Amino acid sequence: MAKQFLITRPRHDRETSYLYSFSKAIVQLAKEDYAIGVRELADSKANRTEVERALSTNDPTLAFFNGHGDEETVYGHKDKPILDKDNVQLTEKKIIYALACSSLVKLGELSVQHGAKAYVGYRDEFMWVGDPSASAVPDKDKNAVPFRKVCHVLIHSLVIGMPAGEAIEKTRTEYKKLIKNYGTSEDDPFGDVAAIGFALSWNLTCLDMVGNPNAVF
Amino acid sequence: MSDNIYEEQKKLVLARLKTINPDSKIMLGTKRNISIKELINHVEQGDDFGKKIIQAQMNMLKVLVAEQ
Repeated sequence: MAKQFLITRPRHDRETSYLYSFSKAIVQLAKEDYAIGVRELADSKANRTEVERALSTNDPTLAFFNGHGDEETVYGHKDKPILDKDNVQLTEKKIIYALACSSLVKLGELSVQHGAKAYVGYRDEFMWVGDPSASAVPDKDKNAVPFRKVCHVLIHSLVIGMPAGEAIEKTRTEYKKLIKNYGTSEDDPFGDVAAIGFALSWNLTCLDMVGNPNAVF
Repeated sequence: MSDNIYEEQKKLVLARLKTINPDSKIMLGTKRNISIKELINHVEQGDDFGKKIIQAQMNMLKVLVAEQ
């Protein structure tokens, strides 16, 4: 049975453009892996109908949602809900990673109650620091580099079959390494280095999972 | 957490935040930016967001003092 990697990548505003940029590398890597079928729902395809179609499979599936979120919902293109209490049953037997604000709190719990193997996400807002002068081109934003790194470490770990709990620990370790690098403003009193350290520590505090830590893709 | 510990942590976090460029902006996934100046205001006011900021900063300090 083929493994299916589902990824939603809306890109309709500044925030989703950054998340879209953060997930470029994993899409490329997954597409090069012949053992994985990649279902990429980018831009307007990041909609509820397409998501429900993609989740309606019995194949082992890792679903990676990028976009806005709140405690009860993950959003897609133009901030239309794509995963919430009305279709969360489709996450049964799947591993979910939501790079979206706060969705772990209620939607994550509900997803596991409906049979998801694991739901990885954030308990509060996901933060990052962007260079205002480079905001139109997230790919080139140096301030965003550490955030791109941690996001990649987590999804790459899940894609290569690391248990969800280990993937989170590996990502926390990466966060800590980066915090040590960006944690003080001594060398950059008027720049963004310390703000980056703050945002990394915030995300470290909020990253978590519910479900089975031994779940693998 | 006792009030004394909270107040000490609050002072420590404010002192740290005040070393950062106040105009640095942090992007939030919820479609807003927040400046360091605004973070400081939340901590000073002691609202829920301010309390979470203190928790995150204390976690950061733990990471910074921990052995590799």
